[in-house]
Amino acid sequence: MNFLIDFLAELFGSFTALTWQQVVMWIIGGVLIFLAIKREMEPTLLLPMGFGAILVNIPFSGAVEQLVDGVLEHGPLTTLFNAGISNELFPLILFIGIGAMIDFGPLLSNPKLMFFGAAAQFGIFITVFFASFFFDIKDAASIGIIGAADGPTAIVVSQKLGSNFVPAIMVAAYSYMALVPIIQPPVIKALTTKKERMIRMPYEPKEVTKLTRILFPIVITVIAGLVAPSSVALVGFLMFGNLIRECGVLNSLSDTAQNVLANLITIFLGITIASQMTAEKFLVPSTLLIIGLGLFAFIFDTAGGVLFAKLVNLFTKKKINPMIGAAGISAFPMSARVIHKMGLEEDPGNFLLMHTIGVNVSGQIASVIAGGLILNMFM
Amino acid sequence: METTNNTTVVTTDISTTENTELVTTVGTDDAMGNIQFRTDQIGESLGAMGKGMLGIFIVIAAIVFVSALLNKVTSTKKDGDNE
Repeated sequence: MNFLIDFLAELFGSFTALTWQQVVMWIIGGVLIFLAIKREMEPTLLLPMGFGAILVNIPFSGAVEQLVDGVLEHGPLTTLFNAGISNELFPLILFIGIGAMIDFGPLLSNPKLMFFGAAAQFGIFITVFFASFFFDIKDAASIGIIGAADGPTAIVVSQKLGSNFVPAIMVAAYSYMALVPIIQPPVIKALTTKKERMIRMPYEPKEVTKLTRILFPIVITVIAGLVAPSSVALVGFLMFGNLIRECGVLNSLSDTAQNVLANLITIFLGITIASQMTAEKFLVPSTLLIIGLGLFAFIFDTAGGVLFAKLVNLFTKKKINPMIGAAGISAFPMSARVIHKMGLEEDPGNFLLMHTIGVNVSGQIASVIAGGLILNMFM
Repeated sequence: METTNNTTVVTTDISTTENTELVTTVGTDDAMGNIQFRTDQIGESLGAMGKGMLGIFIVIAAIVFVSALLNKVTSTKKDGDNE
């Protein structure tokens, strides 16, 4: 009998080490998985993150580095984190894939749309200001970059600034990207009238030559790099992916970058980010505050783009539908689709998609430049 | 401590200590757990806000200008080739 008791105690010994905080993290992981599968909200990211959160919150989990009986046991998630996140490698490689997916054509046929992308980064900087009331300035800057609505940029900037809150920042950035269809519409409706939302914008495409498409990524890299050298990796990898796409002689590489490479890195990124979601790092008051500030950043990104469009309308005869300003948030292509759908709801004949795609793509560029400026100012 | 070629080298005996706990947390407990309201960074953060937004618009303006120029030059070149 004693043998049986001892045996069961040894077999299920980890139960005694289980804390309520770890159970809470299991629930959070479950919620992320639910949102990914049932609501189809950014499943490529939320599902690995959710499952990873469960993995790392099992007592003495072999998935992360642990000191067991005085011996350091290496965990694969910690190894992956050191290999690809702490040195910012994974998000940068993912940017190659993202760059290969982006078609800058609608933007290049109307380059002025890029100003809406710039305006929609307002949420980043106003969040830095408000976060600085609670956090050290480098942490505040890292929290502000959640407003870039761009996971790789958030990871790179927060890692380079040595933020103490990288796990919460990463989770907030990726989670809010998935929540764009919920966050943006109420903000847009609060700042616009029905008449404004019904403004039609006929699409008049201008031809964009192949040479322009090839030179554009090179020129952007040089300009952004000269202004903010710290952003060369971010901008450069994004534009390298785009150059592979546009050059016309590397179709197999472009296809690989858009599909296999992007999917592979996304798998590693999602589950590796979760390695930082241990209960003791995540369930602290500052995490809740960071998540709140992240929401604040997204709201003010949306507001910044819409209000800028309304400001432009004061000075132009040909009116712009102010909703397209909100597409300047870098959540590509979700934000573009959300605003296009809102336009159709107001007026079934109003097709804003090509404009919103152009603005959305410009937001990708602007968010990376914003990340570079943040690094320039605070590194 | 010895001095060689104007360089001072300090040597210290390092005694081993028992490693009783693996610290995997990022940052200090204070930084992670306690939230304190502070106002000493207002100037710096407001300045960053202003410089950041201005910087973005200036860089984007440069990119817009170059993009428009690229469009004009390459389409002019194409028209020239067609002629």
